[in-house]
Amino acid sequence: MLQMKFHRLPLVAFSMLLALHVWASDIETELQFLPVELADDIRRMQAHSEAQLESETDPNARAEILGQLAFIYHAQQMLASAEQAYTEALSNDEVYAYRYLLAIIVLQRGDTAEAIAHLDQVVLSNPDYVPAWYRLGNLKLLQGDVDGAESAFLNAQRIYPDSAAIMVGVANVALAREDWTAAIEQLEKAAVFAPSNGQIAYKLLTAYRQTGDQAKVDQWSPLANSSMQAPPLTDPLMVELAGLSRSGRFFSQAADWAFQRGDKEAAHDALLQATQLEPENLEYALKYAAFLELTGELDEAATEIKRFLAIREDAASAWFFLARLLRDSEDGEKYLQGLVAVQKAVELDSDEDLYRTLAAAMSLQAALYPHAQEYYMQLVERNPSNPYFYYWFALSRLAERHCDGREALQRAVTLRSTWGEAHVALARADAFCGDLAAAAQRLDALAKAAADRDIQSAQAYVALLRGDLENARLLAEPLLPDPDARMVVDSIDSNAKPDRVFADNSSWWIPPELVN
Amino acid sequence: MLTASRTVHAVCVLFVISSGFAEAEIFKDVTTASNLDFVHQNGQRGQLWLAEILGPGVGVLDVDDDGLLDVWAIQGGPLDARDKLLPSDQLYRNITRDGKLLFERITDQANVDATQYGMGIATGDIDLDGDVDVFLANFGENELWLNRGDGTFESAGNGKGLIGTDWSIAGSFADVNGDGALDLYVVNYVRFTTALHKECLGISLRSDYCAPTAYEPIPDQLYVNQTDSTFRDVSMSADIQSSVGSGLGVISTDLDADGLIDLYVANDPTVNFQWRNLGNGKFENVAMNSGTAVNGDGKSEASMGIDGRDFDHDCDVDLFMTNLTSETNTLFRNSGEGWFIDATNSAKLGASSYPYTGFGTGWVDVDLDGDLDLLAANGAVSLIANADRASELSPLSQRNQLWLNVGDGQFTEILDDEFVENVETSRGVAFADLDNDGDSDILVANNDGPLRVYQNVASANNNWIGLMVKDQNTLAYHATLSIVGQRCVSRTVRTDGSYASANDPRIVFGLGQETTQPQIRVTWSDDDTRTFGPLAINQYHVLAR
Repeated sequence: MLQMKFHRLPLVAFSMLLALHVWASDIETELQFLPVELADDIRRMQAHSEAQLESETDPNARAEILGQLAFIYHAQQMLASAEQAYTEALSNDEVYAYRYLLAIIVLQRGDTAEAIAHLDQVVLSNPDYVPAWYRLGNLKLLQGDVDGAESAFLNAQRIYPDSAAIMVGVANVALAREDWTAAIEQLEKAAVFAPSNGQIAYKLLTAYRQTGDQAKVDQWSPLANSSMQAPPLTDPLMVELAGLSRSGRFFSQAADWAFQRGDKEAAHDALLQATQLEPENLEYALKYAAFLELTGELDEAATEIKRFLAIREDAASAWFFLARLLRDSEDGEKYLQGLVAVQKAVELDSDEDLYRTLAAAMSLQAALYPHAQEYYMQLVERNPSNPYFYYWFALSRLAERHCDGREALQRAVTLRSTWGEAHVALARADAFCGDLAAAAQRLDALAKAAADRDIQSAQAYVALLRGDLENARLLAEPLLPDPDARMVVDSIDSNAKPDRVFADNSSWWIPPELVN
Repeated sequence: MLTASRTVHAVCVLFVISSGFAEAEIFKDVTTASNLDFVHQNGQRGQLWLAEILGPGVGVLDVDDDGLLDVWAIQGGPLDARDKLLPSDQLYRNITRDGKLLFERITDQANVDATQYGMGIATGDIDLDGDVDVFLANFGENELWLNRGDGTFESAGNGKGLIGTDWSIAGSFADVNGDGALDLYVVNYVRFTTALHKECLGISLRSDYCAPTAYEPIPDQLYVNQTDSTFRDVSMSADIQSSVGSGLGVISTDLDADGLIDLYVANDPTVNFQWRNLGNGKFENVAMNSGTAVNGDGKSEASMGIDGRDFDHDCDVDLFMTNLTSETNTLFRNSGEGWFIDATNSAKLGASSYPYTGFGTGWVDVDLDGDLDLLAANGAVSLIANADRASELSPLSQRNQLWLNVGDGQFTEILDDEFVENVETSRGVAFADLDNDGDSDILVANNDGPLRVYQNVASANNNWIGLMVKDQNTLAYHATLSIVGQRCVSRTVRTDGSYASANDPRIVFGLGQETTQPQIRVTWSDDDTRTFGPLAINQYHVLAR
């Protein structure tokens, strides 16, 4: 036996080298699409592996060398080369990881039957690898093999009973059998583990519709219109594969490309991979959160940023991002979280005016006027020639009915004399503080230049304060339901002087930083 | 050179062919022998323009009323520099004799000079003069070609009230307001010009065609026929523009059995639309509530082709649409209660369609055994999906697919067939009995490739009855025909569906070995119902009122 093995060795080595040589043309075809530096690295790895194989005779070691090479190819999406290398590795030794990843590639080229055959072998050699059972279940469902799918999902569930993804798999089996009650049972359980998952909600909606439970259909409808990503299932081999793909940078770049070509799902997956590979990387966390924000998944974006901040609470830009996400929240608690976040960002990076501007704006909106005034004053001191900060400092003072806000408004219009809004605000502030002549004069001048609704509203306000109620009504009523016009009409009707420069619910109090 | 894996794959395919499928061949490619010599030009110049990969469709219509369906082939041409001599669509007269399919080109004689960059075709008698007119959906200005009744056409250009100048893919003629004249729904795709082209890359760094989401979708249009052969755009007032998607396919049929013609639009990759006809000139998109907006996983798919028929004989219209590689095609089974169930996998249509990007499709009884089979013409839209084959073939080419209905709501795929084996970048498919032998032949429009005609040679032993329904002298669109005494064996007269194509307007019922002469009940779209027969089998009849 030993003798025979000895004689076979050169033949094995030769055939292996021949195989590597045959692949070479395929590999080169795939390498041409990679960056030159990366392609050169892979060529070096390939040469190194060939050298190792020349002297290596142990099948297990050979499988390891070929499998690792396959990993490298696979990580760079060189699928044909990876498939060849995995196959060669498996011809030396049955390693479940290589078999599993081969199944993934085979599936990518659309051969579900062959992928199932590989996965069947994976679960034989490692029955505890849940992702293999899970994929097997999904593929068998795709083939219409409902019993086979059920068996696979139940095996997965036996090992990992709390996975929402697997519960959905079991539910899919029930849905295929049109057993709505069983499907609902699994899906309701899954919803406990993944409460904001749109796909679970959609399936629940579908099943409840079949049972005629309209109340439940209505309950799940809103969430069913959100993201339809399946609940995630951790797949250690795929994470490891991603790890070989040159770090999160590769996936971050891949996400850019995917997004550019309009494939949002691929972009999402790539960014998720990037953040999983490098969970402490600020750039990837922000990018992923920004992507989620862009696709309307604001809660998920906030969750991602919070995840990151739990690891890196010194990242001012992450606190700022969280604040941005929450800045227009109608939920008071969330808004407060946002305010705290932006205050934290200012604390961590006191040189960044962007953070301070948002902190000021959010404070103003929360009626925390002293805070807002303090932030705006700092901004004025740091940017003495910027009229914008004078303007908002003035409004934060006027919000508390302090007439000294007029001085800051005056400064703003001095710095930018063409700023119509500042002129209107100043006219209203003058009128509020008793200088009605100056207010009227300013508005007349503005109206001559370009009359608009804001000027008309301010004219109504000034007319009201001058006691010219008929004219005030005449000017205000066409502008209804504008809140500032409403304030004028209500004041006339109730015979009470307005107590602020703008109505409480006027959009004039809302800094642009808070508008999404 | 064959690599090891390809060799294995080829051997597997051969094994399956030789061992698994004993059925006789169904379709034979008779393109060359039939003198159909049309080759589509997509205008590609290496920039990977999105518009170059989505055409063309193909249409059949009896131009000269000789009882044989003629062929209108849609041409593309250059996408830029369109100031030079441009290629025209081509018209082929069907001169089939003794079962041998034969065509002759009559473009010039028929006065057809359609040189816009074509995408799709819809047919209908818009002026109720008894002959078939043609709507062309173009990348650019849409066109109307009016049949003069003497085998020639005159161009109404983009006139007659049809104002579409964007990128349209397909149209569907249907009398949606019940005034007796055919209205027109036009499916539009995205706002793209070569000047707006974007560079898109795939995950492996290779330049690739952009997904439609890279561009702004264009709202569809609904034109009402004012019965004087002019149209009025009612898209806004009909609420058709309340939902906007990148549309590719459309059918008009009564999906909720309320007697009104609804519309279903396949969008890519946004949610599909199910426009419920409210009967008051307005439509409501009920797709999300009826379960047809997204697949069973709640995901919108890249829907391309579409057909709607009652495949399971339960008296309601089911939907089938072709999708992108790795999405599977989707079968929506109508529950009959106002919603649909994704029955793709249980019908055994999931795994087999997973590797392919489907376009033209239709439910057709290819073997005349009485139930509806399925076909899909495939061709990728992404180079990456086929990167492993890029060096051997056109990088988008894929084989076609044919599934036989085996009853119980299930299908089995047929691999041993010339239609299936042909690997090209297929787009539109028109289904038509070109040799009037009862079974459906097929025309497959290939992108930047030849128009192919496949003759059905499978069903000689089965009986059939063919029917053309007329309303006075014109084709009775959306009339429903059923065989008296058989529950839920009915079909509706339409020429739309598939992908960007116009189909045979006649209805054929496959009868299998049944030799009894059937009675046929016809319900016109205004609900008038009459019964005809018994009628002789294995021939066509005209049923008119």
